[in-house]
Amino acid sequence: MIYGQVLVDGLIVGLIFALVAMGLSLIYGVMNIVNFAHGEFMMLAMYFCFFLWILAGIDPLLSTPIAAVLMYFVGVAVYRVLIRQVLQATMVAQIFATFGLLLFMQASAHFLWKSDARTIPQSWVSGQFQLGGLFFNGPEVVAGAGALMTAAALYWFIHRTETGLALQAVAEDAQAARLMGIDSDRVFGIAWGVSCAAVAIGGGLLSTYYAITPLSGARWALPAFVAVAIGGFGSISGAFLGGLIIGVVQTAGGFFTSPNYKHLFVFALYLLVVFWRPYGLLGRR
Amino acid sequence: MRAWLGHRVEGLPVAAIAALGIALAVYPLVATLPFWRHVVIMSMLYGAMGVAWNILGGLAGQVSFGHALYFGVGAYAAAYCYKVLGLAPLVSIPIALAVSCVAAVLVGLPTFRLRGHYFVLASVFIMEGIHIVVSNWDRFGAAIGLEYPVYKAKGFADALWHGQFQDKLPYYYLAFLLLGLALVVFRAIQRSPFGMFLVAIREEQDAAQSLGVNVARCKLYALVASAAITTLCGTFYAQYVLYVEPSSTMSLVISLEICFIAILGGIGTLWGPVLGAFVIVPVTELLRAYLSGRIALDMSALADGGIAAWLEYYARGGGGNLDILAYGLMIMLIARFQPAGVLGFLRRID
Repeated sequence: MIYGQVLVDGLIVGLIFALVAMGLSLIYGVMNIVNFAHGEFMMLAMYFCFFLWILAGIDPLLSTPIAAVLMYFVGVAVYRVLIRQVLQATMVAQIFATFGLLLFMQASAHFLWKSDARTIPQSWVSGQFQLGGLFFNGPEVVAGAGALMTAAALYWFIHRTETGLALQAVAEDAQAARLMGIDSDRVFGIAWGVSCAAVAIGGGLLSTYYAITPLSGARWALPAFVAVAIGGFGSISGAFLGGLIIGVVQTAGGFFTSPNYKHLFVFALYLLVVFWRPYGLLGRR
Repeated sequence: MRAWLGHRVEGLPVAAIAALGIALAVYPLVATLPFWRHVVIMSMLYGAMGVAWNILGGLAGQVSFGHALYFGVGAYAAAYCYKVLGLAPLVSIPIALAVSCVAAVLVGLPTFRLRGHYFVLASVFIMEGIHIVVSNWDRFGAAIGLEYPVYKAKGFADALWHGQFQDKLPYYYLAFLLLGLALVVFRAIQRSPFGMFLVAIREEQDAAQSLGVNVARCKLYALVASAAITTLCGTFYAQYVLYVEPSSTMSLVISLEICFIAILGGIGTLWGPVLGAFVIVPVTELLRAYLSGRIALDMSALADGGIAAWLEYYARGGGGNLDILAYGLMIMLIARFQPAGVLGFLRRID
């Protein structure tokens, strides 16, 4: 039974990782940029939900969609102001652009709101229940379910809508897409907006049970990078699969040794996978 | 003689290099306040690490975000040898170098097969993984770290043997030597056939390989050389602050600082990292000093104070981390406006 509990817990956490990783992979697939600041957008959404809750008493479930819409525009703005100018630059310059953004956002949160952990102890989804001998935590289950729904919506958006097809076309060959009349600049902006909105939903859902600090986003994004890499950079379904694997590995590793070491297993998994397959499980060159 | 003085080493005339070197050597005799000496000591230390990083990152084009690992190896080896085994720095330096060589080979052999972001992430994750191990390992003081027992030296030779000085002056000249050593090693590699192989790998790895360059071995040698100098810097750092802990030696921020210094000045150039270090380090040190002198206000007192209290709260540094905030901003601005670094900018003006 204990194994079942660890597996289920891991999968629930994995769904959040999957959502974070899909957003990362979307940006990478479309424009070959690794957004190191991805987790910081999540952290912003968490603070947003926290402040709406403590100042206006609005439940995180209600503020999550608002956070997503806001983060969409923040993502588009970041693309316009910072990313567009480094698209043609070297990989190092691109890494520094998003890494600088990470440090800037994290330190700003630290500066504005201190490093104290903030929590939302009571929300609509609080409570625990038992099902088939397994214990479930209300907020975690809702967060997992919300992440799964968002992931499905993201998948539908990319594969079934016209904008999504344009995204894929640009990812495949930006030059050819331009010749077909697709405005790649607009598509890149949308990719950033959608990616940030998705991770904001993850952040909003997490704020119902996860302690909010300036580092909260990074804690979720770092393993998500591993999920993206083992799934293969740019592969959306690979990122989803990678997220679930990471969730289970991290939970099981932390459970059977010590929570201090849970990230160690994730990093080890990354190294094992890329040494075996240098371009990830579902990745292409 | 005059012709020799006018000879340029990467664009800088020998006369100018000599003048700058002498200015650096004389500086602590003029600036006697410990803080101003400290700023330049740290600048030279980070400059040396930037130059070391540049061997692998600039010449060979292998962007490592994990160089704090070798810094940490040097710092921990020195602290552990001194505190637990009672070994003097002169004995612990070879041990640190040996450990760092082994670490570099173990890291390099598997990761150099990876390209692009896969390599960058591997370098980050290996360092972060070891960070986790060290911060949970009681033998190395876990998250608290190792603190040196303070030693009251009898005379200069004794102090040198223990690597602990009361005054900042000896540290200053040791850091000066470190920077000089790093520059000489970089220049020697840059001008050797080995250095040209590295540049060939950076420009077009597959072509270099097909022309007979042993890519794997060259990258490995570059990493070992780069790691060795970084480890020396780590040992110096431990002996200087007499305290090592995981987050100030083996963290992503340190890794980033090392390679950002090289990139800000101009990646792959001899003088770039020195320039970068003398821009970045003073700015962060000054910000840190400015903030640590102020007592942060208690947030609970702010509620009744109104906007004026809030403004004062933020003017006093708010929740902290202003140095990192400025740092992130600088990194973004450089990446956005001047990816070739300051030297690239100056060259364009030429």
